[in-house]
Amino acid sequence: MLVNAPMLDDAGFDAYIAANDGLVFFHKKLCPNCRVLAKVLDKCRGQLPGLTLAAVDTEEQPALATRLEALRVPTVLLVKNGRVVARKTGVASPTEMIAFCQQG
Amino acid sequence: MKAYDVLIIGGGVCGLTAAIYAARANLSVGIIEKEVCGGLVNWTHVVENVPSYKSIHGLDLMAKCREHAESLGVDLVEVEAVTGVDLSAELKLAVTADETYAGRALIVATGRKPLALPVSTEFENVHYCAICDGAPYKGKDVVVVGGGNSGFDESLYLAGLGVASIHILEVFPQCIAAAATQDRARRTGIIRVDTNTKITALDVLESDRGRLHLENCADGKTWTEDCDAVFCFIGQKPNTDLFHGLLDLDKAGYIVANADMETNVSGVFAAGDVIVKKYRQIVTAMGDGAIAALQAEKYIRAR
Ligand SMILES: Cc1cc2nc3c(=O)[nH]c(=O)nc-3n(C[C@H](O)[C@H](O)[C@H](O)COP(=O)(O)OP(=O)(O)OC[C@H]3O[C@@H](n4cnc5c(N)ncnc54)[C@H](O)[C@@H]3O)c2cc1C
Repeated sequence: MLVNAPMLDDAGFDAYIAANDGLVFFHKKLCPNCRVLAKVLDKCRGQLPGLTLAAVDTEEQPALATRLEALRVPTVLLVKNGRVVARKTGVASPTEMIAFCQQG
Repeated sequence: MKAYDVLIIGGGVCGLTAAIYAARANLSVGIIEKEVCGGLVNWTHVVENVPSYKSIHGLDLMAKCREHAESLGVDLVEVEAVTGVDLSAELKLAVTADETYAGRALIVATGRKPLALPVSTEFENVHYCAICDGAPYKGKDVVVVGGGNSGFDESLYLAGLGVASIHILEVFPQCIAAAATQDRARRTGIIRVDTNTKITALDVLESDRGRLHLENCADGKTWTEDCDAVFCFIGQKPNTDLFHGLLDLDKAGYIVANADMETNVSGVFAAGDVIVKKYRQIVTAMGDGAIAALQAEKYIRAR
């Protein structure tokens, strides 16, 4: 759904966020709002060239989605220094998503 | 400013079909879509009445339409909402936050959007998409508002996720969902239906559950019911706010177009669910889109 973004699993999630600040996008294949947010994130990447994105398919990784309370999709987590510092569930516009990325 | 021969507002199945026809007529075409192309069909879990596909996920069907349009060179501009239009000059304009787009002909294919729950509430667990928002309610009690095809289809999806109980509320004396779907729903053993039932309020309880205040429309009896989430599927309204005072609309806000999809403004065509018509289906939207594009081509070539 999101091009050029690593797909994370439960085993690799903690190590990934320890090494990378950025956004993690939780989605499902047949979720229409997820398609919209994927496109919004793509657009944000154009405007914030340093933005790092990763993704989690919640149907393939239910344990990880449950652990991070990201069962509702789309959910985006903002991660910094190995911690989740903010979260957003539902569709957002590119402007809202850029503001979300720039907080903290 | 970006200019096309044919500018299309709305990338649902109607807008995409119009784009395919116009592009095959060697016209330059741009679609401006506020979300992603696909429109309402993206929200339909399974489509079973489009000839050549016995059964297909709505998202997969629209991915194919999108690819088809793109392969013909159609410019697809997504996650950009048209916020203003100017239909007064020869060149029709559509304005978004990022750009102004122009077309020698304009096709309006903005479709419809779901109606919101008709009570104001602080309850956070009010949703409009079972696929997106259903997963946290495994083992929980949900209420579905609306006994049409969407209400029943989405209830069946929720039942498949393992919710504990589903109560469908329909304000009218009968549910209009297809009889076969209603039978499937009842056979799950966890879906019950009440007709003639209206929501008058929705409170938040300390437990974070919701408390619905309900009224029987036939005898006026009132009662309350607690639940973990409310999913609302009570119909649609046309996306025509942009066109008030510019295009002829009927009382419900739908655009009036003739059999050739022409509106009251020369060079502006409207097609699909957004126009006044009786049957709003994928194939009728495709038919409208094809006619609008052919007529737009005729209009452009005559100038
Ligand atoms: C739950 C449900 C299930 C259905 N199931 C079936 C089925 O099984 N079979 C069938 O044949 N039909 C079905 N239908 C009907 C079918 O989905 C519609 O008739 C069809 O999608 C209409 O297509 P459209 O392109 O006219 O409008 P839409 O699909 O509504 O597309 C309009 C597009 O315009 C965009 N838009 C709106 N305003 C703007 C703006 N200001 N700027 C930019 N873009 C804008 C919207 O985002 C949207 O993408 C179903 C409808 C619903 C609600």
